[in-house]
Amino acid sequence: MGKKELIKFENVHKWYTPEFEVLKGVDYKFYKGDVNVIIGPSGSGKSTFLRTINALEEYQQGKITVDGIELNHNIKNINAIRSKIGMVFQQFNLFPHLSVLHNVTLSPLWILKQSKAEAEERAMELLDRVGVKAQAYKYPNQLSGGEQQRVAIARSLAMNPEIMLFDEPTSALDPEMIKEVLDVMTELADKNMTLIVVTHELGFAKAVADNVIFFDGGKIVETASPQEFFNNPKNDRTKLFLSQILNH
Amino acid sequence: MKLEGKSRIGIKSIWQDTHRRMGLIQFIFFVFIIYIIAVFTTNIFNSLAKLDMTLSFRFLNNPSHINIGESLIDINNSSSFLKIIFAGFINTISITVVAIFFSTFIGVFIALCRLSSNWLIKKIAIIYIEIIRNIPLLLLLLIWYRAFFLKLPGVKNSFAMGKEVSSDGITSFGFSLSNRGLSMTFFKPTENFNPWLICMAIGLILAIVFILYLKHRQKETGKEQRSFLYPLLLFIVFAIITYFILPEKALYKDVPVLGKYNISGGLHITAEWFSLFSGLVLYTSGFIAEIFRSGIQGVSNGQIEAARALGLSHMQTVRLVVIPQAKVVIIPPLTSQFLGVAKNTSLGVAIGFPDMFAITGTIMNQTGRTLEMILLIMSIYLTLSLITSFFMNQYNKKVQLKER
Amino acid sequence: MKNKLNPFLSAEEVKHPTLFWVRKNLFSSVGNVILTLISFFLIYLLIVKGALPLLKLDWTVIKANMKLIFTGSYPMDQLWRVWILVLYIAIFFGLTFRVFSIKTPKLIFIISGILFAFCFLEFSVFTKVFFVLTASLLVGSYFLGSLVTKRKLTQVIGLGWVLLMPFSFIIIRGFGGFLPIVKPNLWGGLLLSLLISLTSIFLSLPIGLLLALGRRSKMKFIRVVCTVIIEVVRGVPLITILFIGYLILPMALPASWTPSVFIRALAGVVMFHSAYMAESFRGGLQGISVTQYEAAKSLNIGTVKTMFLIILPQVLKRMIPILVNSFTSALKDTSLISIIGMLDLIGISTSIVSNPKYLTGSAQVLFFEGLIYFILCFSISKGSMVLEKRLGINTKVGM
Repeated sequence: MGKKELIKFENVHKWYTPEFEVLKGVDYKFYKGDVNVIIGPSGSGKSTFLRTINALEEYQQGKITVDGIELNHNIKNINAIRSKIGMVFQQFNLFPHLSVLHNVTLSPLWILKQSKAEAEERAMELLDRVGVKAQAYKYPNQLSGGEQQRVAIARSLAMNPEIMLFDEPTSALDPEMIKEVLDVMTELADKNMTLIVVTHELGFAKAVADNVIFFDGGKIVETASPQEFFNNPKNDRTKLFLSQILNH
Repeated sequence: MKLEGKSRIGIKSIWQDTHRRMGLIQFIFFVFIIYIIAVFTTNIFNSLAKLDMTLSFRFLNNPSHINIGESLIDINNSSSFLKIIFAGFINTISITVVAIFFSTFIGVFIALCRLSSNWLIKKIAIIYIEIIRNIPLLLLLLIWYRAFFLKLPGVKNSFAMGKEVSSDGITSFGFSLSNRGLSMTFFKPTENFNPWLICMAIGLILAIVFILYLKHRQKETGKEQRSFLYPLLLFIVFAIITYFILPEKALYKDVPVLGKYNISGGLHITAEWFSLFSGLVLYTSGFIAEIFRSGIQGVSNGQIEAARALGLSHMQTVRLVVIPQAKVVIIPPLTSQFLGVAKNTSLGVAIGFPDMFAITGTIMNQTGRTLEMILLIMSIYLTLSLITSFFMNQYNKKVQLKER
Repeated sequence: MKNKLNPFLSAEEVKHPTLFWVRKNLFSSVGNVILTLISFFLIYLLIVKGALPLLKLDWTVIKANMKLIFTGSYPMDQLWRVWILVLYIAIFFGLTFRVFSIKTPKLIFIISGILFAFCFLEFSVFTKVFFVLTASLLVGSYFLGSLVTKRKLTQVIGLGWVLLMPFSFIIIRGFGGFLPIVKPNLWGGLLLSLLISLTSIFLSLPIGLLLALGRRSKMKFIRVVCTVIIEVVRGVPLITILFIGYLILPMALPASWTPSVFIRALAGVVMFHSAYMAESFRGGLQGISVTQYEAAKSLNIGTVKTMFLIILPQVLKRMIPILVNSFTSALKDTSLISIIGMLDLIGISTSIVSNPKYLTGSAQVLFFEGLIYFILCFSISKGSMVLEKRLGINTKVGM
């Protein structure tokens, strides 16, 4: 493909107890610039799969490599990997005691050691890009859900990540605010950011994704381009799942 | 009840009209309360009259002829009642402040142990908390007083450290524990104390300047500065350095000396004071530990994940994300614990510590002025509560997370 | 066959999971090792300097005064009545366990086991008989409870616990004709503490509820009066309220009504707890969303009926753990009545020690009482945690 391989999963297993295995041998490669959408039933392990990438979840067997760095217990590796990855959570997780602007500038000030002027300028740029510049001096709980999520995206972007992870970013939003967040994510995709998104928003997958990954029972069941995936699913389980969610 | 014609305001229509009904209920309630108050008051005044007394606070200016045992202010046998009540008040406040300080310190320490990843430390902290929370404070006080202090040997055979007998037969101690209390070597001001006092004042000003500077720097860099800890450290270091630089020492070592019947000199803490103090500290620290623990654990996991995902280190996450949020949840119950300490000092009456309440009891015994004294002591406690609530509400408003 | 255990473990650790746990929790880092060593030292200190000397003390003062500690000056020949109360509690305790479908009632077996074990110590035959009876009733009622339907059982235990207070008063005090009257000034020790705490909870519930409702009332005068009462009582120490009850109440009541010390102490404790209960109710009532009231209004249910049929059941269910905790704080706070001269559990210790024979026994008595308080309060609070889980109450708000 000519694209750079960014993340590699090799036979990754994760279990909580010997009886309760969450990831049952996952193999996958993520490439730079791709938009990857992960769909699947709840409890399938797709969120866990996503969260192992930036070490929010540990894994017991197999190997994960991010941009050449092996993800293991070494704290240096973990920090190096986390600096390349931004994450957006279902519950936004904005810091309620800081203003919107400070939410975005916090990490650049303390980690990237930027000056206040630099950090704020970049933050305002990002907030403008996601469309919440007017709320910069308000506090998170004064914003609507959609606005908060967009701030969360800006906050992650402020660290100049190479990869952005989205864990069901619109699941906690009221319907009328879903579009504004998806629009921001689409704009990121247009600018060639590598995205890995766990979501139920199939419209987004159809329109923007390069790869659609169907995750079920702790494994990747099928993966294909959106056209192939939605029109021509090969696996029976995929077909079952699609029939359940496309026809309501 | 049947009504005749709409022009009559019968009881039924009042009952059905919600506004009028509320008015009627309030009226009935009002009459009821007034009646109760009237009956009580008349009875009280009748009882007082039988004893040939009227409600009056004038007796407070009379000499009391009471010895109260220990006091931080200068009083004697003939001080007025008002003055000894004030002495009691000072006793209460002073022991409250010191107890609050120590119990918060210990409470935070226990909370950290409780959150430790070392299983033994965690279990020890849990056991401590469970024991403290399940026995009455009064029992704790009595155990300290009767089962510990009163069992100690007398002054002549006290448990002592640093005991020296000088050439003229005078025994002195570094530290002595007896059934009267504990005495220890303490630093007291010499005649040359004032220069050092001035230096400390300068240190205070420097610290304040430092605070202002740090706040300015916070504005400039956008990064949160430790605008309390560093100035505090500065003040302490400055005070220590100036103490040693000054040519004449500002403090001298006052060593407790064994006299004929008791020990004089040094710092003397009575058994009563120490029992009340340790009981209060142990008891309150258990509750404070739980408040801190649940405040810290109450910060949602997602916050910590978001901070770590952004690349903040563990210490940075704790300082910038967890603590500010925990503060909001911790302050209100912490304040009511502090108030509780002030109210719990009243238990000093059970072990003979002359706190405000105990002195009130003594006065009531002496003069029979129960009603006046109770009104007085209640007003003092209520004022304390109100002042504390007021300040707590102010601080709370300041740290509250801003909602829409 | 996959190795289901953590592959980061070496083969040796797989063989010795306990050792691995020890290493992880106690010795995982330098800091941890230091902490573990400090804890060992602390434990050593506590045992050698603390616990051992304690055990070496002379405990005869406890053995000789058991009855005083537990029942005060209750007449010896009427002690069987106290035991009847214990049996009553045992029966309903066992039935309650059954109602909550606790499959293996470990607690019941532990308590029965302990009671049987007590029979081997030095107690009178009379006491031993009752130990056995209590143990049997405890276990028996648990098993017999399965014979009745759950619904009926819930009604029975509801009634049983509610009637506990009046029943205990009747049987302990006696009533004319059937049971000789034992005046309250003879009640003492643990019996007195429990009676006053229990009564305080029972009475402070309705009073606290009324105060809380009054505080929320739209009628301004009622709201002000209730708020003043609540804030004044909460703002002063309990001992002050007790003194008011002790000194002022007799003055305020008509001369013919002179209340006994018991009533005065009880009044003070009830007043105090009602104010705190009112605050708990306030929190509980605030937790009921406005939509409940609106639904009731739209169904045309009157205000009073709404309160009793809809709001209160929800509030009370949510407040059960708080109520159970109130009982433990009531038990602890009640110890203050010793200051106004009543011979509750703490007060009795003073009178035991004033007996010249047992002058040196204050430490033993106090520690024994501490043990009693601890066992009671700790079990009750653990029980309330189990209760919370069973009833599915979340004490953490929101998800």
